[in-house]
Amino acid sequence: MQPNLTATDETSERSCESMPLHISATDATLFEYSPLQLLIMQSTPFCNINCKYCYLPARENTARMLPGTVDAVYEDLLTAPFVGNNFTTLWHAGEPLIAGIPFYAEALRSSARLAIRGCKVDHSLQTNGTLINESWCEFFQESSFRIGVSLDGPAEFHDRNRRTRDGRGTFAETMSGVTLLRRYGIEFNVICVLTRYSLDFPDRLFAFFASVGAKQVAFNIDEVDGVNSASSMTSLDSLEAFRRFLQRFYILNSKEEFEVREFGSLRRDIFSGETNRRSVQTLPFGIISVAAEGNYTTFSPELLGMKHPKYGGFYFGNIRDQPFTEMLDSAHFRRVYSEIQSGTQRCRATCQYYGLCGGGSPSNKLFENGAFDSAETMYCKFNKKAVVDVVLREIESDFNLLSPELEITGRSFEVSNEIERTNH
Amino acid sequence: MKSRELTINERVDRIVDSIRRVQTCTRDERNAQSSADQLRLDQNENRLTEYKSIRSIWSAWSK
Repeated sequence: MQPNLTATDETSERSCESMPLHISATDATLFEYSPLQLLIMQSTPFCNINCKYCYLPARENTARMLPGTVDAVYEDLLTAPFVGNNFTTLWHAGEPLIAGIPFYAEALRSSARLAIRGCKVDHSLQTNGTLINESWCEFFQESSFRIGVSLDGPAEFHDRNRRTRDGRGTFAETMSGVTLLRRYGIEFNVICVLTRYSLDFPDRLFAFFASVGAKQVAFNIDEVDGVNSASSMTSLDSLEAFRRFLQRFYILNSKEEFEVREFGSLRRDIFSGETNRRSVQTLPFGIISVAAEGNYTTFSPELLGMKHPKYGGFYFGNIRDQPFTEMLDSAHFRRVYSEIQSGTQRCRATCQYYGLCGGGSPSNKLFENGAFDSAETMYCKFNKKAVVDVVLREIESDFNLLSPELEITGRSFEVSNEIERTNH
Repeated sequence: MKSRELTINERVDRIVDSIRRVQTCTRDERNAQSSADQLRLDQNENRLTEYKSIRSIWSAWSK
């Protein structure tokens, strides 16, 4: 999935190079893997707000990651065989600003040690924006942190779900953070969670995001995952409404006033003819997620802290006493790995979108279908298939590759205009 | 006989081919084509120029 968890340009849109790489466990068993692209660090599971659609468990747990845990992570990555020339550390899975500036200043120093092995570590955090103040802005300026703000649109959209524990909307507080970022000239990205309600208003959302000055906007879907067991997107018309939304948004943003993650990454793959990549979520080490107390997992970031009747949890070790590569020796890891690979094979055999997807999201497969060894999910229908359908068709239209008949239906955004008029 | 629908991968290949044709077609080759094909190439060339002004797309070619 593309969770509320992920900073826009960091996430599950990532894919792996098509050439398989293998890593050996202690008993010489080989596993296909991805070089580390994204290290998700949970500085705290606590969040100062309580969004209705959040899938994260333990949002009231005020535990903090200790500096020693941060050091243990980067110490291990100094010699880990799956580290390449760069990766991004994303601070999230709770409200990261709660950890305070000194914590991140120390983490930057700790990660800078990887320069010894020629590895550049970028830092990014995904925040609800409500705690951004001038001190944070000064720190962001000095440290070149990349900032992602969770913002669902104007107050009418944002405040429907992004609320405090006592039910108040957080739009005003988030926007005061955004205003400060802009005043300090700090670039930021936005994650917007789309609910069924939002889908009928692409023009309003486009105008809003064009006005807030985000560098990139990413759309996540309100979906069934983790502790979020219900979604507004399960209504019968949601998928078609999502297609219309995307199509209209694509046209509105044809001059790219800001980058839309879903379009940008897919267009890059289409124009470079890349139809043989693996989803980074389907291989170990491409994404590593470390919880506040040092427990770690890999594959989908949403597995962090999750429990499942069939598997228990998804932690494969604790970095304070187990290097990341030790997970390869764990029976629990091997079971999950094997089932995820079977699920990916199932996708490859049954889905013609596989070439532009690479196996989807294991966590969605588990929480929607009840098994890693499964194929299509709601995430596939929305975040992959619908996006591919819209983007491919628009590009084909641009390059005269559609028949006149398809050209007419392919540019059916007038329908969405009509919806907007009807709703106002 | 009705032609089958192209697969997703074939559609991607077709887009890449179209772009490659614009990029590699010489003036003489273009002049030797029918006027309809020339018009299509000109349109695609214009579209390609527009696309190259879009940062996220251009980065796919400039890698």
